[in-house]
Amino acid sequence: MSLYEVDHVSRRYGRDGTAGSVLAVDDVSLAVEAGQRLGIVGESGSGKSTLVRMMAALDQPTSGVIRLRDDVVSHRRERDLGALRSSVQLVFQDPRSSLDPRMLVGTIVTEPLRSRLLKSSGDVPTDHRTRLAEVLESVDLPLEIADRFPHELSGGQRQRVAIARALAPRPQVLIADEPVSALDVSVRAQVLNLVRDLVSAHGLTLVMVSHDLTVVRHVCDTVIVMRRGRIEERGPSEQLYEDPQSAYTKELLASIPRFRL
Amino acid sequence: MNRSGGDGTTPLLQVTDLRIEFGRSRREVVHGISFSLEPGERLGLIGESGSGKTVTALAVMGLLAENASVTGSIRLAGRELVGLGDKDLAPLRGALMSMVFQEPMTALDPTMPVGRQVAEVLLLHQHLPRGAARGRVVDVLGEVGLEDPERVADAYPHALSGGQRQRVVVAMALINRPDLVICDEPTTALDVTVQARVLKLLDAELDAVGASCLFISHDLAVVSQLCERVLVMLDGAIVEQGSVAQVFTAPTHPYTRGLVATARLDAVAPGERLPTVEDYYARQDRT
Amino acid sequence: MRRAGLWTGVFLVALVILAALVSLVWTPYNPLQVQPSQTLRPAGWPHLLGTDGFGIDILSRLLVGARTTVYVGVVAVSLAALGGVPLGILAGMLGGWVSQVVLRVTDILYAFPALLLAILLAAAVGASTTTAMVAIGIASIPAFARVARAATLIVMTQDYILAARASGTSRWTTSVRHVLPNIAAVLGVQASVSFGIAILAEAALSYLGLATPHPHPPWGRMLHDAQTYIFSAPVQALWPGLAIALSVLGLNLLGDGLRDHLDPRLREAA
Repeated sequence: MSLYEVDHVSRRYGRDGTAGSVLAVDDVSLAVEAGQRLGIVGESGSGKSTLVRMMAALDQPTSGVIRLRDDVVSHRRERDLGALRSSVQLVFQDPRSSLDPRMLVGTIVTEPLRSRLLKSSGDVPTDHRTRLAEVLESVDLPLEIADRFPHELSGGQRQRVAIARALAPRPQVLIADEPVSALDVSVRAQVLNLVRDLVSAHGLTLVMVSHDLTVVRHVCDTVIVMRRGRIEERGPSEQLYEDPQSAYTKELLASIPRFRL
Repeated sequence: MNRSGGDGTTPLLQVTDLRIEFGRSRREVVHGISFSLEPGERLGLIGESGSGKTVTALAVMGLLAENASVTGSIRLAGRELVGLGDKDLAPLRGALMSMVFQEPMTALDPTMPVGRQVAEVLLLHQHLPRGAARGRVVDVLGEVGLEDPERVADAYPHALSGGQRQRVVVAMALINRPDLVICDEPTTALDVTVQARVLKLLDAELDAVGASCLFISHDLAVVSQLCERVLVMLDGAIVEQGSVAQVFTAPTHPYTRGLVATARLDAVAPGERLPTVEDYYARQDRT
Repeated sequence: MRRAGLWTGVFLVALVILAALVSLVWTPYNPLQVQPSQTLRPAGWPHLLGTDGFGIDILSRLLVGARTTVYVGVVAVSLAALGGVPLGILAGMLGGWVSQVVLRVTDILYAFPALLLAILLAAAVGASTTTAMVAIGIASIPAFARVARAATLIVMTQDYILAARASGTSRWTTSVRHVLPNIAAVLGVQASVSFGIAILAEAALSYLGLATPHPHPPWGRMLHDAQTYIFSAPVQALWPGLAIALSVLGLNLLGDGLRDHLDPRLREAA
């Protein structure tokens, strides 16, 4: 039994047949095993973000079913999603947008711990101060940062705060949607190292979305390449990187800027 | 070509001891930098967000907010720009120097067809009959690789893709054949495949127009695709400069060494720890 | 320049509030004391702004009137905010038919002028300051609802809303914890503008005699009283008119200034 099962899932925005209607995800099926590190690669409009948002039950498929541990999570009422919410956490692309600018870092990180839904459906840490200190330490941030506002931090620090918030309720699955693409190249390596270390230290299952195959190759063991809502190619990341089969994957790889001296 | 003052001995752009301060507190964000750009040369300006690279570019364009104070000297084709008012700078912008911004969606006016926006830049600096302007605009849109330029000219920005929009912005920047084009992270907001195409386009168009380019980016690999020389900026100062080959293969400043190491993601075996800037250059306060 | 407007606004509004506070402990003369021997005195000494047709010291009346003015403004704006803000947030967060219903209801309310509402209310329960406040408050609900809805829609596009949902935070908690603090600045601007409108509306209602019975007649009532002497003592109308105009000007300047100050684009340029 797989941890996650995405079964013939499609997502259409707008009514079918009307102008502006877009089939963002088109009949996608995939499975994620516990402990797997899956990368989803594609360009904007490929449907990769829509797909992971449906896996996190933040969006609903137009057709198809998504299961987490044999439990259907698509089209469920919010109050029935306790198991999913406590075991699946997200890191978003741009921490400037994903951290509430009017909240202190400490409050942001402990927000999942204060959720009634999570408290009722899992062993969420109850000692907020201790947990806050633990997760800040695990993302290499000093405890003093808890009393600052997000805008007082650097881009890399902000993304660490977002990761700390995701770790706070001790999830089993981490979904990271373009976690480094809003960051400077110089900060990218730090955050990627951190994500990889945390995933292995806590035995997390990772689903990471990125437009950059070289980034995914470093963190993930399996890669799915998406294009126009469909899966173009899938396989072990090293194999896909060294020996891509589809023309599109080849183009993606060739487009990555390299040193030209 | 309307080159002015490019006789090979005087640089096109000469920046000397440029200092930029902001606000009533007079916080200095650029600390007396100097560099020059020869006619036809392409110079990369590398640095992370907050290093002062965008502010430097805006100072050259004279586009800083009113509460900024600029001292030092910026000479374009022998002419001093520091201290010039908006009235004197406006005829230069778009004609002698132009700029390509990071985010093509916000660089274009959403309420106007893109063809008219390109035509406006043209008509601001050249006296052409309306009909002739339209023809020239369609030509240029075709030159920047847009298919069906007639249709694109009549389209509104939201109807175009990110790559198409950035091509329109490039067309706007180049239509008056400027001597200097400043590109501020022109491909950061784009997908990799689109980025590759826009970089190729910029390369060809800069050559065709014979323009110099100041190319700002935080991505070393992107800079190496386009530029011959590079400046490395850190906390408002230039810490290293030289040819791309020299700076990237034998960097001398520890910060540059860190930047080069982090940029070569493909050189690290998968599963191994990625090198970070901090491995080479320890900074206080920021992580 | 922008800052000058903001500070002028702050100054004028502070002046009105100060006048209201001072009147609680001190006025030059008893504002209720009729002195038949002192009627229609010109400005000078001992009556700095002169006296009215009943011989009441005008400065004292103005100070006490400020109290009523502030009181009416605060109550009316609070009423409008309490009604409009939850409606707006609800519409912005839920969207769909909820949003449509809220928009249509506010449309209907918009079509109903405060004055008409006040006349109807006065006819039903009698004219009083309370009637005026309630009428003005209800009439200002749509403005708050629309501003709150528009601001909420912008906040809803931010990832921290999604992050809160992914953390299992309920809608109700999200609205209080994330939406309200992030739209508070815009609501503050709306409040100061609405306050100005409320003062004007209240002046108009008192002038028409739809808000009279109150021990401390507001500025609009003074204007009404001054009308009798518009030819014999035109200065009578000047003082309350000036007080109304300056306080409304102050509130509008404050609102504009706040908006400019809080606009992130303008702030980043600064």
